[in-house]
Amino acid sequence: MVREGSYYFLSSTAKHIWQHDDLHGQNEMFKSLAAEHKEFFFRRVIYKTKSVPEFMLEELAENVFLSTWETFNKKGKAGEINIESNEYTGFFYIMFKRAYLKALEKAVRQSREEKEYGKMQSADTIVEPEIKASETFSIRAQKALDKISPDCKDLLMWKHVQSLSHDEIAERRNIDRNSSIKMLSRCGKRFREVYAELKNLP
Amino acid sequence: MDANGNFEENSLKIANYLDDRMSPAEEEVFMQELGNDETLKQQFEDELHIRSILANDDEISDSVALPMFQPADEHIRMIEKALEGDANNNRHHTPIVSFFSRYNNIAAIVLLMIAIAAITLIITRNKNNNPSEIARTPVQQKPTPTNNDSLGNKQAPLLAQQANSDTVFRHFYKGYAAGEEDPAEVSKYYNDYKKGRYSNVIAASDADYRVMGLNNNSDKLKQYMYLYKGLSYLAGNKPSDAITQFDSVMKSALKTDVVFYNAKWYVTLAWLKKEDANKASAIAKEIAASSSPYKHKAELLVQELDKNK
Repeated sequence: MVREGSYYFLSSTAKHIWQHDDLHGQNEMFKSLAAEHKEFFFRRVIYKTKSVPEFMLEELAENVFLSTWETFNKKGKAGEINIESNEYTGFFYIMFKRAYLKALEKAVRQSREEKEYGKMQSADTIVEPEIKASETFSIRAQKALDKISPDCKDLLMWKHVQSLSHDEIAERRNIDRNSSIKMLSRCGKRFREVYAELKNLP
Repeated sequence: MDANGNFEENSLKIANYLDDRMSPAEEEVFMQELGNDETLKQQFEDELHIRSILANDDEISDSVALPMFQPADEHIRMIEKALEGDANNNRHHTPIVSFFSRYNNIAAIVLLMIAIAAITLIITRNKNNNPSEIARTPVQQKPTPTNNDSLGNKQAPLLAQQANSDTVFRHFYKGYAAGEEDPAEVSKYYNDYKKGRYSNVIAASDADYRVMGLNNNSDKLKQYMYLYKGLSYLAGNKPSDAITQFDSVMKSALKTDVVFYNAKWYVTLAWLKKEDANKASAIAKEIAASSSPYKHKAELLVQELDKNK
């Protein structure tokens, strides 16, 4: 059952599909939603990357947006998203942004590693990375962590493996949040340098 | 600004964006900067790259397709978990829009209105009971005190005291902020407290946090857990339960421990919240006479309570 609030997002076509509970038309409806709300949501996450082509970014954002919306819809929450009241929209946006950034992280990494190993992909080709190469990546990351200072290793592990916030890290180290951010950035830079040096890890 | 300065400045911007600490307008500006500033862009993508290398290490070997073609299962699980957590805790509490912060404001206004109404009621009743006022009324009737009037006279000081305690409490109460002494082992509970997940803190048992402690600091962990629980009760408007927890801290900690000072200050506020200004004032006087970091605040609190007596 659709609530009135959800109509803010719907084009007349999408509204018709929604009102008539046209399951087969859901995909169209979601696409319509994404098209209508690109401006509102996408301009806060999409930029011209160095690594990923722009059209792929838009497709990525659109796919993430649709699956976010679909999940909210299945849980009966989509009707509560209302840009005008901004009551639930912030929550929806955060979910969308986190998922999008997760996907973007993978896209950036994949793109960089393909370049590094000399395998460029054409836009419409899905290339399966070699499992052997993929397996060496985690060993490479581990080696890189072992080569940097223990302090840096701790900080990076806390942040990226244990998912501690900068506030939590700052608390553990008795420093302020900004210092935590700066220290982590320097450690991250060092980690990347070492990681790059280990490119030809057997 | 030199390269290092730019690097650090960019790091702060990137962290604020990734941690959802920017307003929508700030995020849009940040996206524009990313589009125009090659150094910032490189640094942002470096950060994403590191996150992917370290955070998703175990997922790499399963990654056999471009991210946009991967099934959205993981993403959906994340959202479902968040929605369930949201439903369990606070449906409208979002990282960006804290709906309850608006309720807090509304609640504060309502409390203020109740306090004003109570004071007005007291003044009105006092005027009605004033003999000179009665003497000037055209129809002179001997005022016969009713049960309600006598009750009102008894209630008046009580109402005034309650309004006074509440006002002073709201003036002095600030959420606890962890210091250097707060043990990292129980930081999870501190974070739950800061994020308003009071039930998580209150539900924590000894077994939950003892395992985190080293041999020599289990007492300290216990004291901080009492403190966090007390703070959570207080924030959840259960001052009596809060007092029990703060008392436990004060019984077990040394009188020069930071945790003792914290507990003593917040127990003062809990007594105020419980509308016992006399008890609060007595403890505040002890704090004011000690070397507590809350000494100055306690002096002000005593002054404030004395002024309104």
